[in-house]
Amino acid sequence: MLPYKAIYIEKHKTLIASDIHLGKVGHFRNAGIAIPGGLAEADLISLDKIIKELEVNELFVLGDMFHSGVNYDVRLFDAWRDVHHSLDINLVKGNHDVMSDEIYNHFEIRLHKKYFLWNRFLFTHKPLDESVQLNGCDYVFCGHVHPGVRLTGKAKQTLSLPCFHFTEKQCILPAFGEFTGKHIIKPNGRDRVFVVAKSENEYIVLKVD
Amino acid sequence: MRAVKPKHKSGSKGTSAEIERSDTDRTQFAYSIIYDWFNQNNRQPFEFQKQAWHYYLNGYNGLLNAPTGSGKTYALWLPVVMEYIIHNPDYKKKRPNGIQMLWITPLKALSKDIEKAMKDVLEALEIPWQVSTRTGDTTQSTRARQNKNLHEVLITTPESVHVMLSQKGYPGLFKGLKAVIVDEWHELLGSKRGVQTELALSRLRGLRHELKVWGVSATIGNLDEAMDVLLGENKGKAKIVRAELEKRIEIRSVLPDEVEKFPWAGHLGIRLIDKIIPILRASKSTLIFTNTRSQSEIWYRKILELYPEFAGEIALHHGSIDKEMRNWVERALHNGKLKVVVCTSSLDLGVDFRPVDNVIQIGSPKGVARFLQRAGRSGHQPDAVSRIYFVPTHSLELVEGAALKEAIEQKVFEDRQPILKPYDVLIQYLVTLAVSEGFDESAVYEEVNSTFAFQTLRDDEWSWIMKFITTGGDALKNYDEYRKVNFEEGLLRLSDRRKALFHKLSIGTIDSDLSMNVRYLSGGRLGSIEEGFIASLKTGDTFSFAGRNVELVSIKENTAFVRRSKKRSSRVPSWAGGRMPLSSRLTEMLRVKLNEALEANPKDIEIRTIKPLVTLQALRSAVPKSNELLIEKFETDEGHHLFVYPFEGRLVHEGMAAIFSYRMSQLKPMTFSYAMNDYGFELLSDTEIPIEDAINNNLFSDENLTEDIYKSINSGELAKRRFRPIARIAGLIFTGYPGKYKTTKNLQASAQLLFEVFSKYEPGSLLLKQAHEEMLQFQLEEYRLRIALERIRKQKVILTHPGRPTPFAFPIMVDFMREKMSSEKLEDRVRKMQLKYEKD
Repeated sequence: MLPYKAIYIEKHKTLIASDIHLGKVGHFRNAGIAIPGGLAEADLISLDKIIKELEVNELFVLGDMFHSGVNYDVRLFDAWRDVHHSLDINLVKGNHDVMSDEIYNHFEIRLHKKYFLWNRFLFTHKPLDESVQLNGCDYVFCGHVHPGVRLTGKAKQTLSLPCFHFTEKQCILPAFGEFTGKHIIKPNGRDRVFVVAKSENEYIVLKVD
Repeated sequence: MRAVKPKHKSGSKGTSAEIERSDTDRTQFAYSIIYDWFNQNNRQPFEFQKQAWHYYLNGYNGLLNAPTGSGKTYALWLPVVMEYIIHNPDYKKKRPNGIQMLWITPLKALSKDIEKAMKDVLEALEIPWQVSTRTGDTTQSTRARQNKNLHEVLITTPESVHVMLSQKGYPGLFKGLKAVIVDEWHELLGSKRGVQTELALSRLRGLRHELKVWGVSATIGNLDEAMDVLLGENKGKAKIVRAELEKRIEIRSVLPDEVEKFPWAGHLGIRLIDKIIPILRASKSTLIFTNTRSQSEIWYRKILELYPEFAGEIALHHGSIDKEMRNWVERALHNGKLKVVVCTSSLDLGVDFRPVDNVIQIGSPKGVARFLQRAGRSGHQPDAVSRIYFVPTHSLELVEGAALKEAIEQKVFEDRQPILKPYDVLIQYLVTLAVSEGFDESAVYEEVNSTFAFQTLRDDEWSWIMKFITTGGDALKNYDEYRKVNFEEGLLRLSDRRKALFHKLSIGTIDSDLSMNVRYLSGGRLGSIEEGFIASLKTGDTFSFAGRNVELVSIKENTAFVRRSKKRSSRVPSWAGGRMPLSSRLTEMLRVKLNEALEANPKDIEIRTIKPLVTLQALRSAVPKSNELLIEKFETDEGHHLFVYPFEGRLVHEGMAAIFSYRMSQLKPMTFSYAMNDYGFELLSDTEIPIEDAINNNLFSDENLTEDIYKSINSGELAKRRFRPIARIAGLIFTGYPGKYKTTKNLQASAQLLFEVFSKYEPGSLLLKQAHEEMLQFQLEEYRLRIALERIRKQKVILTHPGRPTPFAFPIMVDFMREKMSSEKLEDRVRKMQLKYEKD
């Protein structure tokens, strides 16, 4: 787990991220909603940093890589892709990934309609029902939910943070994109939850229970 | 001051020397028509009405200080009619006048009555004018007609005026406008709707330089300022006209039999219910005002539980109950069909309910003006006395009963503070102008600058706002697609139809809170409840809402479905907000009254009743004089307690508690929790509290006060909460098309998220600055806090060690609201915090 709301499998130099929602800032701005423009590049800058630091070869995106149609931010991605042209990108289509396949082709993104299997891991966008029997794979990675937890301390202190939510069968990743909301989950006792918190300008991952 | 003295015998003339001679005859003629009409109805105009007519006809702008139901409509409506008669001797002839008068009211409910009063006059005088109303409820087709052509009189709300300013061709619509009357100005003043009104007036005056503007206000402490705010920089000849109507008010406190046995706190006044019932029985109709919606639910239920005889004659009215149901209650009340209505501030305003002959106030009304206004809801028959009963919810509150009486006798009223520079409202307004006709930057800047709210607007602030609406903030990249408002032929315009529609649908400053609808499974709306409360329930749980016991069946999207339940339930929803601080006017009076309790023979019955308790306080600890600050220190199983009694209202106490905690934790690392009420606050810690040290180390200093506030209070969290309405007003949150929830879903972002991204990517945003300023001003009352600290520095500190809770301390201790103060870093906080699984 990386403090950037992504998972890194060092052995394979593979980065797993979900719900980046590229182009969301542009989508809002096009509608006349004045989201700070600088935010449009933020996620690409983070990705850039991680990829350079860890020498990532391969990026798996578990859906909602793009928020909507082509706009300024998506053109920024185009430029970014030129820099990171050797990176392998696999994308499971999420409900937000609505651009035409040609555009994904142009970006050299391998598209998977619903899921793909890799080293006995299953990658999907939406979480599976917990009661489902896993056949031919050991564990599932998914997104869609934008999980977060609300932590309560003594005397009404509360704090809500994005989290990785590990259940018996699957890991639901936090949304990678900075301009994304959170859905507060209520984990059951067996689940493991890791929050991503910012402390003195450093992101950290902490286990909570 | 010289009022008109019309020589008035039946059917004769009025005169006014100040009007030009050539006009005199026509003026007399107009006066005579009005006087005839009064005579026919066997009435006499009031002095204040005659004054208002005089000043209006002589070209004054102004403010009329008159209570509801006093004939204020005639005071300002008739001169508009008279002026028309003066200029049109053949006034009975129908002609296309276009709009003559705009009557702005904060409350839609009031418009019907006003419309009727105006129509009656027109009919009696045979003036072929038409009166219409435009509010958010007006149908689309009526609005479309109004957009083309306006009747002579339009009664409307501030929001609707802005919607009209967003229509193409609005300057043509208003070209004949002579007067704008702003009703209930005291209600608008001090809110963003007031600023909206100021801005609309600045534009209308830009179109019509000779426009006359009058406001109507109930009595508040700062009437002069209220007029200045309304009229702005170009106020011209201006005058305050006072109705000076003495309304007799009778205030009675409901007293417990023995104050020693009366619980010191924590019973919401219910203990006195038996004493209230005889009042209810003896009167035709009674309004029971409570301070919170949940309190009204509890009272409603308790009365029915203990006195089922009231079933069918008692109703509940508060802001979260469905509008239809509220309207029904109001109608029934109007027609005298209800004996008791338990309500909240939801019935503070609005049309008069003539059958109401008694008002009961449960708990502190928090301010003199509000108490008086509520009292005024009873006794509407001519010469009737307004009667109000005050029911304390804890023993010490009885002192407030005496303080209220004294304050009303001395005519001490609270000020309404006008809002300064709300950037969000300005942004919305400018886009409104860009949507319709487009605007000329320098001309509109001038107009905006002439309003009270924006008189101190600086050039850099203006250019930030212009950037915000044209390039979407700091234009790092001017090649993206933001382009909301553009320069076109020298004017700033918004031509994109989709963006224009978005904007028009978002006009307004009233915050619709995040709430869930509550509906019966069988259909029928009950009202709305905060999401947090619903989240705490499981399906099958019962709760009490809108006076009914219901069971939660299911939750779908934004609606909680319920069905009636026979099970008794003690769960009552709570709503955020509603915890107003005691006004400083009232706290001053409170201190005086408290000391009277120690005199040999206090004059107020409330004070005599409370005497044993105050004496006990004096014995166990002390009763502070006005030049003293009482601090009590003792230890219990819970920990080390410190009680401080500045008597400054709960918000100031909250801020003070946080600052004191922070400053003391700088002396020695420690963690506090705190609680407060309007009289004082408590700090609780597991270690000895070094208060003596702290006092010697500038505990009360106002040096670095703002910084210390930021460090001590979870200011980020508070500012974040303030940011939501700001973001909505400034157009960052699109609330969607009515009824079309889904289509805009991918344009939704929570205010919290917006706050975070702005803090990070555009920390200089004026909207963030506004959130912080509003937090300091309204959430923490920084200004009052500074004054309070200044007072404390001059006071003598009385530190006592009572050994156990005193009568002063008790109500604070039972106050369950406990805020926690901690100076740990976030990482530690996360580690320390428990993740509580909310198990299903």
